Amino acid sequence: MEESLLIRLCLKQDYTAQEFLYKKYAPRFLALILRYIPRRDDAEDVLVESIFKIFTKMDTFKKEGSFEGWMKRLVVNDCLMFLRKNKMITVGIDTLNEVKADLDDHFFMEKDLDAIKIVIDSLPNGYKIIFNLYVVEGFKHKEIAQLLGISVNTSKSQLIHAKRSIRKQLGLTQLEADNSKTEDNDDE
Amino acid sequence: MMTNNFNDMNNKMSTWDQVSEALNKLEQEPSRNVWVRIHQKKMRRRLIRLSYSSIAATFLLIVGVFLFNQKESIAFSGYSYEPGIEQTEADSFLASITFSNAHLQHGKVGEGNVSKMLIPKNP
Repeated sequence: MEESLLIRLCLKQDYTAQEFLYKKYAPRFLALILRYIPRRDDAEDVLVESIFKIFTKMDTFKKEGSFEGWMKRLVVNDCLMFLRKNKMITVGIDTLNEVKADLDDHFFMEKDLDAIKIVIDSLPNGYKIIFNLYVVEGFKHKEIAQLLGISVNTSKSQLIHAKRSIRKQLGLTQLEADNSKTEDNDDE
Repeated sequence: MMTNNFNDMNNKMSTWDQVSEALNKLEQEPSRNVWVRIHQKKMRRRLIRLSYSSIAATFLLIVGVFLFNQKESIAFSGYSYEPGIEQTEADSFLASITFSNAHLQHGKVGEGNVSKMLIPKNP
């Protein structure tokens, strides 16, 4: 079904269109939510809330970006709201002096997703949230700072800590010394 | 009931972009009751809206009935009547009528003072 038609039908509260939209996006959104909220029951509660919000706030979608991007943002906001409500956001306020010095984009050699996912899930909550927001969801540091009520530098430093922690846990600390490179300073 | 539709799960990755792409492709099938819960939530919201509308309609009806009933009657109550400030003819006189708590049209309550020349109907 074409996206604009799907939106139009959903706005008219068409049951079939809403079910189609749910079946298409719910599995992707649940995977997204589980990156932030590991307990499945909680994640499904957030999914119910998010999908309901998508249906009721669809008229506010201004077609400036992609529809999926708009929905994803709404889901991420709900995740953060849940974490905040349950006091699960603990972002440190430390900032590194070498904030601009990050590591090379090639972070490790040939690791499979399973191993990487386990390591990401084991990160401290603050690192994990910022890593997911920046690397996976594609938010800018400025946006992350606004979403979490922290400074841009804190966001950057937490990301560096998160990446280092991932590398370390994957046994790739040696690469850090070899591949130092500046990044992340063009997106403020 | 967890399924994973990402086929390249075991592909080796070496950049953050690849990790991002792979994680974004991950899917987790929600439990069957999630869709039911969303639908129930929609129905609940509709019911709440409906009950709010009924409350508003009932209120408007009550106000409407009240105004309609008030339209016909102009009742004066609690007024005082002071005759003979200035007598002009033998049987007629200028009277000062003071209103208070006078129920007028549209539910308004009036009060004030008015001078009227009163002439008896059957002199």
